[in-house]
Amino acid sequence: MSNIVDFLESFLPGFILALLVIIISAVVFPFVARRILGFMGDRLGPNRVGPQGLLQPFADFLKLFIKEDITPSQSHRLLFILAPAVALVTPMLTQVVIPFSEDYTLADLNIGLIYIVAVGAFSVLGMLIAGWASNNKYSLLGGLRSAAQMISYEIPLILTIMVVALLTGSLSLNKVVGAQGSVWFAAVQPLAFIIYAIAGVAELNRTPFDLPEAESELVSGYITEYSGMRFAFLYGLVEWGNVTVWAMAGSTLFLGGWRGPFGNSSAWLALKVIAMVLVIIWFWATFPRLQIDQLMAFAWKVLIPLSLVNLAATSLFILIWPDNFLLPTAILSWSLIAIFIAFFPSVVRKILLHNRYKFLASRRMTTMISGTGKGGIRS
Amino acid sequence: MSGSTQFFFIVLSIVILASAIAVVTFKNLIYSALSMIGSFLGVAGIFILLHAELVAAAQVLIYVGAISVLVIFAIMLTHHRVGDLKLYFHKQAWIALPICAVAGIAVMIVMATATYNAGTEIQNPPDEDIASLLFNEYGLPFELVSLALLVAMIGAVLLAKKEKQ
Repeated sequence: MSNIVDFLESFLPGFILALLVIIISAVVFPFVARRILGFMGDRLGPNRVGPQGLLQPFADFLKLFIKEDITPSQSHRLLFILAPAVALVTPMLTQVVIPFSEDYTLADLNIGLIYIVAVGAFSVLGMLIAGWASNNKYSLLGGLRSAAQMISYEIPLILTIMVVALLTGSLSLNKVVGAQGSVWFAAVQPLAFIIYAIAGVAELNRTPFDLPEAESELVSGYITEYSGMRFAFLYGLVEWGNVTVWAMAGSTLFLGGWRGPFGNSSAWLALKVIAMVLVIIWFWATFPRLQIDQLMAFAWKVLIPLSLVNLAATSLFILIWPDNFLLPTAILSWSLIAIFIAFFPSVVRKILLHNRYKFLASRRMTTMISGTGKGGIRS
Repeated sequence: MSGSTQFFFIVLSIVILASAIAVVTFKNLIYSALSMIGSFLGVAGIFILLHAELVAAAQVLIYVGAISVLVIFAIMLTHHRVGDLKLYFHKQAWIALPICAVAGIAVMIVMATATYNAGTEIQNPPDEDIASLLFNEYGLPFELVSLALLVAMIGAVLLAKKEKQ
């Protein structure tokens, strides 16, 4: 009996903390996102309920709470109910290894970095199950797209996390934060940080990588058939919880976690998380959606080679300068970024010009054969 | 083995065995694949009980995150019929039964006659030692495994590629 009490005592505080973090982010961030999207789109956004619309999340919650809970008659009932729970595993369990402050981590695992990646598997699983159990073509397509996307973008994500492990010399997240005492890893390895951010946005199915939930094609992707509380659960807790947890892991890995310019506390971690989420919202308002082939090509032809080069060069530099590797790797990473920015646009421009030339040539051929056109566009 | 360890061991064993049986008895392929994930997770739990956290994380990462997702993915892409399906494998029970019986008896004989180092403390090497063993002493087998994976991948690409007219 005392065993169970001990177990609950060690288990419950962490469980409640993780759940609170997710619930707060699910209440705050969607509202902030809507207001900021409104501001960036020169609209008002929700501003009617309460001062500045601050009570809007509660109104939304109330509305979703009293809505009828519909389970489609042709769905796989058990899996349909199970899927949101499976998807919530990732945001809940990832927080276990995040150092909240100098002396508070739920569990300081010595394999923290691998653990984060391993736990991420459940969110793919939840989306696949939700998409399949809904028995709806939009849901299924959304689930399949998100799985394909997440598998592709997991590779650059893992490769950049490996760079952090190399710089730290350990897989424990507490030691990762400890190693950033003098300088944040985002300054040492900006390339890794940028790749982490891009791959993370793709993993989270956010704009410009939001193909799994593309409104104009797939309604809401795998969430389409969910309504009422289950919709609130999937969209609010799971989606925004995943965003928050991604930002938490990112600020721990690259932005120094709870370290700040003055005083070390979890408030700094919260600030960094909010900053990273705001960047996602900014992306949301700025970029158009990619095509599926561009998305895959970007992962396999740009991000993975770049992160492989970065990883190989960083490990080589650490071999050459085992004691003083921070400065050389920083120079390496910054120069890789400079090279990338200098050459990527011109390469893309060449490819686009080539494609346009081919397109025009094919147009000219067809008009010549049919004999009705006036000989192509540019003649 | 302390009390709580034993309790979790029994629970995990039940999970592993029940979901393993479910894998072969479910007639719906998706349910089979999902029970397979349950079995993998149970095995990962056993690894954690043995204080082999690295192996447990690798188990979840590779078997749940990669292999099972790939299996589900393949089923969803190819298997359009929803509902129960008499599996191809269900017809082969009469061949499978004697083979499984012989294999099972063989395993039982080996396990009954083996000598165990009971009472030795479980000592888990730090992750650095595992890494240096894997990449130094067992470097060649490791690379051979990756070569096998590469061959499989090239084969899959070749099979899936459309033939030019």
